[in-house]
Amino acid sequence: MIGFYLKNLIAFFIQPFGLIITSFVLGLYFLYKKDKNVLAKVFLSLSFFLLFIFSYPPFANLLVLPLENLYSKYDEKKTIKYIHVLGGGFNADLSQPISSNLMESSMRRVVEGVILQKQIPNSKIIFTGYNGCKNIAGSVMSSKLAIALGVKETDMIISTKEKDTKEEAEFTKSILSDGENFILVTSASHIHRAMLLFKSVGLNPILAPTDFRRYIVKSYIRMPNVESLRISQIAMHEYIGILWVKLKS
Amino acid sequence: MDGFFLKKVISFFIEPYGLIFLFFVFGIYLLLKNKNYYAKLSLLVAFFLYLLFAYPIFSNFLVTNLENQYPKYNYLHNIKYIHILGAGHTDDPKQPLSSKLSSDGIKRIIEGILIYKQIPNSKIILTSYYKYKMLNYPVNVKLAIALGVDKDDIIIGVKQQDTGDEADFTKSIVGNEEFVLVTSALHMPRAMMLFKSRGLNPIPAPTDFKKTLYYDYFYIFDLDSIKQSSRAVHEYMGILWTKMRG
Repeated sequence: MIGFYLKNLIAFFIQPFGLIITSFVLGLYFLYKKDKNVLAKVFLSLSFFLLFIFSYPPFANLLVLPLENLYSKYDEKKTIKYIHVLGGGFNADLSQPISSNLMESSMRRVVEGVILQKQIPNSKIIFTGYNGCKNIAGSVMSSKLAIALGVKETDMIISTKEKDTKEEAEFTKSILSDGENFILVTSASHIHRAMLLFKSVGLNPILAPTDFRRYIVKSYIRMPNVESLRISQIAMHEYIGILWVKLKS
Repeated sequence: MDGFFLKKVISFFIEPYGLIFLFFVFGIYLLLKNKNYYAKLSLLVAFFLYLLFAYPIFSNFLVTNLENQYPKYNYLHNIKYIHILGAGHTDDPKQPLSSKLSSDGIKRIIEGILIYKQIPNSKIILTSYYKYKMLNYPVNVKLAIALGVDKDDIIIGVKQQDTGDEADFTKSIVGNEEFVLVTSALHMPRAMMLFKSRGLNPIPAPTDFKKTLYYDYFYIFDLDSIKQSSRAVHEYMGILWTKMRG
């Protein structure tokens, strides 16, 4: 548990938002110290520069493009039995409808999985993901939406133990027969790392990315916004994650 | 066009993110001019605003005030028309249908489809705005069809630029009959005002809630919270604007 917090804490400080906050706080601190005016100027200007650049839409797009351009949407007409939809964030708030219980990325992954399941005869969806600290597992929440959209319960395999992508890969490996093809659905920015992890357990997925964050830049006159800062944050998170996977292997 | 851009610029600077930016840039300008007293003041205001809007308890307070006005749909009514309000989309051909609608757009359409599937003989009204003449169905219609909605059950409007236009379109179809209105929970209070003011009788079906049940007190600076605050303030201003115009 402490390791988990520590990992999150370190991750916070090396990602855009954490960097912006840290240099802002340092700058303010130096501003109130005598004779540290130069340092104050440096840190505050750095903080503002980072805030501006990471929330400027074309720049966020530039960060996310290399990740998302590696693969495009699933567009084959193969007969494949299993579609593995990776888990993502959700809430268990009963005052919200199911369409609002899944976070944006999990929702898009489920919808992509359901569309593919409807297109491919006799296919089954695999939902994985644990409950975090809620009273329902992410995989069960995803399956509820799939059922509501018309997928039969017998066409789904649900597992509720997986804490990360590696464990999700291991679960699917236990289901497939040797060398069997399957489709992997996850967010476009996450799919490269997911593929590395699936390959590390000996699987060879056919990729079906969704939840793209890139956009077609039509004008460079854009106001900075929070959404772009979040996209920068997601992109940096993935770069660090990919580096981590490569270091470990 | 200029008026539109001006409106964007002005609303940028009175919304949380823009306000923080404004005080931040002003503070740095003063600092570089060596007007330290005013620089400190401006930077502290920026920092305070940052703390406030990024604090989950505060952003949640702003959001729940709007979102709790209408509870989720109870799925019991037997109503013919379901109007799903439009949102943004991309035309990027490399993305699948599940990725083309904006975050609020996809949640709204899924909620509408779930209601449609429970009511026999119901119809979905989909409104949005497309600048160019289309050769094919709009993205939201394609997604509904891919998820099993019969294309004869969809009524399509593609020239509605704002919620007012959308209300006018639906009025021409349902008149003062009851119908289900699907939109984001934050947007629902304003949408209800606009629809009711035109004599329509919507039953609200909110989705895309931003409120959170569990927040981590550990998170003092939460990026999602700034986004929530921005959305909420945007809606408060929209409601004010709607009321001012009567």
